Amino acid sequence: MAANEMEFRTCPITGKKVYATTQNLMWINAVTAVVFILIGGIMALLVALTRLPAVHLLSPEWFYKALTAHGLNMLVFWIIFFEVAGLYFGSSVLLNSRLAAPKVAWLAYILMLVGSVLVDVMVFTDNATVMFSSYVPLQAHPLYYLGIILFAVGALTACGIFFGTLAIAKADKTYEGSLPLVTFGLSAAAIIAVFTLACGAIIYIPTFLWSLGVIKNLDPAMYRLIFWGFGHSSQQINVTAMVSIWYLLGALTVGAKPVNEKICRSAFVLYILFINLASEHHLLTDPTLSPAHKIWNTGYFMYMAVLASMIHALAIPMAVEVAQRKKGYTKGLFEWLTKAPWGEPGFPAMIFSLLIFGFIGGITGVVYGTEQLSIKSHNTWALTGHFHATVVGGTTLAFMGLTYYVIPLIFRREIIGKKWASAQPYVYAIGLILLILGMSGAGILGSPRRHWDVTFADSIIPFSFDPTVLLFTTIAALGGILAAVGGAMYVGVSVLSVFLGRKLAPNEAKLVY
Amino acid sequence: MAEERHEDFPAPGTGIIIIIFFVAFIMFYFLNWKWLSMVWNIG
Amino acid sequence: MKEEGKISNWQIFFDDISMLFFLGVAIPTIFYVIWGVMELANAPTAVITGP
Repeated sequence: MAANEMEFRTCPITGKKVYATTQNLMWINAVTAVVFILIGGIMALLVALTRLPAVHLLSPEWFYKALTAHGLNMLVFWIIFFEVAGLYFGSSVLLNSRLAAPKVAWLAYILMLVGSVLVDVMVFTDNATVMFSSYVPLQAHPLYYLGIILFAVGALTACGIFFGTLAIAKADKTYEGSLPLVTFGLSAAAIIAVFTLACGAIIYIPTFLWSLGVIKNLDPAMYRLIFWGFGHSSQQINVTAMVSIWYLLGALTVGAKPVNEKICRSAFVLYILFINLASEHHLLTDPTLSPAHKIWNTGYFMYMAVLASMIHALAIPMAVEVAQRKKGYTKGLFEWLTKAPWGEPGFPAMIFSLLIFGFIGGITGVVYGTEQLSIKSHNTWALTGHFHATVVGGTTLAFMGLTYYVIPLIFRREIIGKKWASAQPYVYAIGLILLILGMSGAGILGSPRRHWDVTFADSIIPFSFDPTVLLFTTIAALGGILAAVGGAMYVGVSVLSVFLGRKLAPNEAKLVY
Repeated sequence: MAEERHEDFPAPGTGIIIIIFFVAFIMFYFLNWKWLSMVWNIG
Repeated sequence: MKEEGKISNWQIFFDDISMLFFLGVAIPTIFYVIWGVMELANAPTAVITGP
């Protein structure tokens, strides 16, 4: 742990300096992330098997507990620990710079770990079955809110380390010209993170005090406004980081370079300026806010961020196609795609991530975020389908693809189970597509989200959905099981490789294969 | 013709993917407005 | 980006991370948080009449 701050090695493939402190901090944050995706993934399987009426696995108490744990472990802990590792990579490694204040970075890690463990303990001991959104007047144990606050402070500190490292790199002149595009994208993610975590502090501190009885009342409308400034903006960090990873995977897998980097950077700037305003879409059905507030934020400003997403959705495949055509794959319209390295895990992970995020997540998000249309999808499983397409099919799948390069490049271990690594993105992506289509189909027909029994068997007032809902629910459950298998493959390959993979020699220039 | 297209636009395959994307977008918008009109009659 | 030694104004703007940071925090704070809080704080309280 106490590595010399100036000790580094030179990457035999990229020529970049990898400082020992950075490597250790990346390692601990990434490994911890994988532990949390394991917990979240087990909860996902349990929830999927409960939503399927034929299985109906968990009791209602356990269902809502598992769903709360699933949301927090996946949306917050897995993703943000991984992103912190990514921030250290994007700053220290890509800029050839030592990390700013490594001891503080370790403190940030400890705060995040203590906070996340505290939250999980509270959830699993029946003290915080409040869902990821923890809406007041639902009240959790004070230690739950304290855990989230500690985690947020740790994550904010990690963002500070990132910006500090950028400053050090600039002062030490470790790079020339502008920041590399991937680092620029991660800077956008870190800026969004600061707004996110500030909103989190503004809302969780009073909620913590309310749970202690110090504050008597919290207005639910005010809570929702500020909470989603934290809750949705945290997903925008994920989008921005994911897009940065797409550029990185494009470069690593096929040597792709953006055709016009100015446009790509403009798109990241649009994210910085406008993407957080999309949080408003969680409030579209709230009665108190005016149509002006809703439409300005979701109907005007949000579309600037949508424009940015469309720019990236064009730029990245274009960069891949241009790189492949330069290699001679010019036959027809799609030889550049059919002859791409589909056997390497990073390429299919990137492509599936792009397609699932763009075609399913992006389209459903923009449509459901329209003020009038939101009433049709609000609180239905269609919304769950949307955000599984964005955060799981998009961000998580991209992060998984990147892991298979981080392990040999940064952690200097050979991948164990290369065939499993190659197959994993396919298994996960196909499972997710089925899951998402199932959720969306059932939700469009009215099936609610966050509900233990959609047959309403114990209801005083009986209700039954169109039987097609059951078909879609079954498709979703089968997809969920397949996705869980894909997730288990990822955890298995990562953990085995990191701990038992053959150590690569210092000059051994080896990626996945 | 294909060569001229390449000089003008370096990624024709991507162009096709983008067109399919826009068509999907328009269709999904249309479908959602249609479904909304079916559950929320006006007048 | 650099053509014949000249850096465009857009590049200067994009390279200024602190300016981007300020705008990235200020814009959502004003248009989403502050405007929203003002609306909610000024919402009239419901009056319950009748039994």
